Amino acid sequence: MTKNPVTYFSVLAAAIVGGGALNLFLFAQGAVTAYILTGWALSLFVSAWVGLGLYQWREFTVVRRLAVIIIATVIASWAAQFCLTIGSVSAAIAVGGVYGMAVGFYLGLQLIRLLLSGGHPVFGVARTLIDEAIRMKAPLVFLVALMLFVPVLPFAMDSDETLKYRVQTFLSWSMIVVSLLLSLMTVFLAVGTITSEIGRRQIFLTMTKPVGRLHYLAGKFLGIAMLNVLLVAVCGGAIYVFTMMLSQQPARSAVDRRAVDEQILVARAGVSPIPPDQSNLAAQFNQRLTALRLADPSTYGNPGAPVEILDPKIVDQIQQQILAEWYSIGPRNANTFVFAGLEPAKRYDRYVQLRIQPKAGRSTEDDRVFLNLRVNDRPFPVPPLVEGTYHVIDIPTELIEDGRIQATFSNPVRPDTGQEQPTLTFNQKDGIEVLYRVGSFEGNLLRSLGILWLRLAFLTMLGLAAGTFLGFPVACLAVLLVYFAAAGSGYVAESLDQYSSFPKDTLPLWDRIIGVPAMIIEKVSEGEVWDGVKIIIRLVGTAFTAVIPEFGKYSTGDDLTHGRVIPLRLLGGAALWIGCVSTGVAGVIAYLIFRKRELARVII
Amino acid sequence: MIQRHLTPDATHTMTTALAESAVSTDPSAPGHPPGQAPDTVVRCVGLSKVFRDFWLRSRVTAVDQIDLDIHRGEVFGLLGPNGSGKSTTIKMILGLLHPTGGRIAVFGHHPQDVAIKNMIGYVPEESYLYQFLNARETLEYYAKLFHLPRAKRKVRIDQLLEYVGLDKVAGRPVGEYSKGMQRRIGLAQALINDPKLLILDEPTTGMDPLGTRQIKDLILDLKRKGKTILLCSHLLADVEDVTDRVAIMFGGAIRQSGPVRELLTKRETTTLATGSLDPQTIEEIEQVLARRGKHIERIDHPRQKLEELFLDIVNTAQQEGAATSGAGSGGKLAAFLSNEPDQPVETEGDAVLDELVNEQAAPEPEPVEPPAESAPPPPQADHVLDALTGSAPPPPPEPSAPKKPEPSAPAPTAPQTEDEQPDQSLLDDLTGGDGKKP
Repeated sequence: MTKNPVTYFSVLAAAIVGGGALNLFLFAQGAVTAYILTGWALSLFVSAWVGLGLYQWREFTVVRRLAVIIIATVIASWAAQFCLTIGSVSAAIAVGGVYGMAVGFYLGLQLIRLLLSGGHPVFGVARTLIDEAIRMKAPLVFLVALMLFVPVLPFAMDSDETLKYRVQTFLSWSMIVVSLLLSLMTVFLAVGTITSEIGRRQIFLTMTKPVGRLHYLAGKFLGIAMLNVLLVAVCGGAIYVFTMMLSQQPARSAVDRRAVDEQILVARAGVSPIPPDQSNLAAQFNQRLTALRLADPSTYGNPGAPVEILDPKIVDQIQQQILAEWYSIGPRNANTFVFAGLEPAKRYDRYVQLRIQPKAGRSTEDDRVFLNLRVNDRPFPVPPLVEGTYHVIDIPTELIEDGRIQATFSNPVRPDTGQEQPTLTFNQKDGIEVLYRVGSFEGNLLRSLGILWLRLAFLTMLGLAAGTFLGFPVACLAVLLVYFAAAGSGYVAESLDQYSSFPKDTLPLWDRIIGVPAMIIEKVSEGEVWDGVKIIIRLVGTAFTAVIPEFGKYSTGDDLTHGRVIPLRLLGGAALWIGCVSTGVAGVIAYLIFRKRELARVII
Repeated sequence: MIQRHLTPDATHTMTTALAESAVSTDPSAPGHPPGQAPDTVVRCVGLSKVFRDFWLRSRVTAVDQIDLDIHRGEVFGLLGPNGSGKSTTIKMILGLLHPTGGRIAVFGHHPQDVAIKNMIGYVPEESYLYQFLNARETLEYYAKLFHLPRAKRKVRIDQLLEYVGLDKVAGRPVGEYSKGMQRRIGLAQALINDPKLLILDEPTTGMDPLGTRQIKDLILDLKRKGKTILLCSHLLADVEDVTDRVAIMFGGAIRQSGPVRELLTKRETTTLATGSLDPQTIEEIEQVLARRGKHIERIDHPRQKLEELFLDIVNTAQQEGAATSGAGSGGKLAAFLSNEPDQPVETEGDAVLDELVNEQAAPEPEPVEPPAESAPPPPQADHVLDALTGSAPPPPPEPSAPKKPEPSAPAPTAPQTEDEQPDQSLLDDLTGGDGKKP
């Protein structure tokens, strides 16, 4: 065995080239036994030579790293080979996925360590946190769970389902689980690193070095943020690879295949129909209100009375009814929907997709509905549709005129039975729209992962802030409370709205502030004490929701799985509000608390 | 006290009561020329700390209005029983606790000033280390906190690992170390920045005698290099060996403070150490003393300290190459721990001691050679007495003492005060200087 690298690699190269050539020669000569024997001998020699090389240069960090990768490769190869031997191809692919994620994570980790090798306290704190994350049990459990879950999930799908369903389910679940596991890991790591260092007094040594409290917090944040960059990248890469792999599996039909290619693995912009103009709506509103007042003046007021006397909820209800009617098509009637701003669609594809979800006013015998369609006054064939289900009608982009498409739907009698169909309606939100390709799935996935990372960054800082003054369990609970409230911010706001009466949002701020105690006093004086308490609870809830970020606004899961574009401005908005404002506020709070904290304080 | 060192088994120690003379103390820290105000590294004025309960009610007064000055270049011992306020005081000096009263200045700055931390090394009372890092990574981490560039980090870490004897196990996680090994790495991290002020809170806790000896040697080495050391301990023997000044705390207050030598000297007693004496010689000496109205209170043979015996055994085993999975013996002091040129290495105490030795006793060589190899055959006790009484020529200068040599410790530095000099009239009696013979 030589310690001279030149000699060592020369021997290795000679063995591979010479042995390989000999092997090929024997194979060409048809000497099968000799070919197999020399092949085995060559493999053994090369393996042994490489192993010896790694051992003799083990004191070099690069060699140790290389050895880890080689050992992992060998183990993964054996495992995959075993899976193939027992006939489980999917298990072999899953092993390959775990191996790929693990090696990717390992290499990324070395890169992060290299980046943090500078002699600055922030880098020192960050690097130690990285070591803590991969060597302590709690964060390691999440890492292992992540690396097992993503590669295994594709093979847990029911192969009887459509390919579109399987791909969408995988995308949806993998994003949810990755987001959840990373969020939990981030919370536990951020809270744990501060509380454990204070509890175990390791912070005594750090803070008696020339490290400012801000540097300490910044180092902790940087470490977790970089770890999350790596994990999001590795998981994102695995999700992408397995999505592509899954999408290449046989589809149940050509429609199924097109659905995957054109409705999932794309980034599509959506255009809703132009709503009726405000003057038209206002006229319809006045007409409807007058009719209601004539019928029930005690509820709606006398005809001619100002609209302001009405409860805003009643006004909103009437307006929604008028809009819903506008999205409806009565029996033997037709309605025209105009979609504008479609000129860019011509640049990306030959078709745009008219996506509709017809709902019948009453149930039909076979859940089928029939619609006739004219696009820009040209008849367009539409097959029978399943009621309450989304359908996509491909419309050639050449039909787009001045960036507009005019789609006229009519509600005919059923051609099979000759019976009249009930009123058909489209949901205002997404019951009828035109979708067109504006980008790639890859870009969409990247933006989605970017927003996920920004949410994790906020959680990191929130966890650090909580850890500066709370114990581990309490801090974790507090951060998780904020996390779930932020994730369901829309739902929480809606629930609060229904929970108790409260001053109207339309009132000036000052009147609302004054209005709250006035309402409480009024309720209590009327003997409705519990209603007064509910107002206080809603006040607390409203204040709470006002300060937490609205993660719901930046939810990307549905858009990704339905091939809808996640616009760059959404990523920009998330960067501004979650990444800068919310995270910054949490950071300032963390610093202000930590700056004043007595680290060796004893509470008697 | 004058000790004429011979081999251990040929030494008699006599203790006798002498008249107490006036005490002359030098309040300035050793290492500073007289008349020159020493630089104050740490100053506490009226320092107090009251711990409160959850409802912010005052519960425990841990430190109660103490005044403390620690001067540049001295080893200051903060002593006291458990709960006396030592660690609380240290934590306030380090900025880990905020005083509820009084003021602290460290290098003239507020203790929370980040800049001064560059000059401080701290060994806490326990090893508060990251269990998941190995020794090298631990030192790497703390070196980074001092903005040290990569090359300098590597050199210092290598030197420190060798110094604390962990260079062979530097790749093992700290969590797998024994308590003593963790203490060693804790010590190394405190030296990584070549601190000007080293704060040691119970540094020998959990250490074996070898490590304890090393800590004491380190303290003396660093003192010699001009460092300031604040040593907090309740192991009084350790503190006594190395400190210049001490403050003794109880109940949060300083009960007594001053130079160690002054506090510990029993002025009513004089000890003479000499070669082994036969009963006749002792009787003669007693007669001499009786003429002065004194008598011998105790006669015994000094014993070797258990620490010395232990260190001898371990050193022998290490020289024989006996295997161990624990810490090594440690190397020499890390080279980067710089000497400060503006700090005199030889103190005033050295000069005074030299003068005393030159004037009143035969010159002694530096106590560096192992006695077994370098000591000449022990002279007969009669010859010693003859020399003392003038009936024979004085013996040649004796080599080093039986006391275990401290490899890097300097010669005693504190000035010898007047009361510590032997009663000259008694010596005259013994040497026949007054014309009388026993």
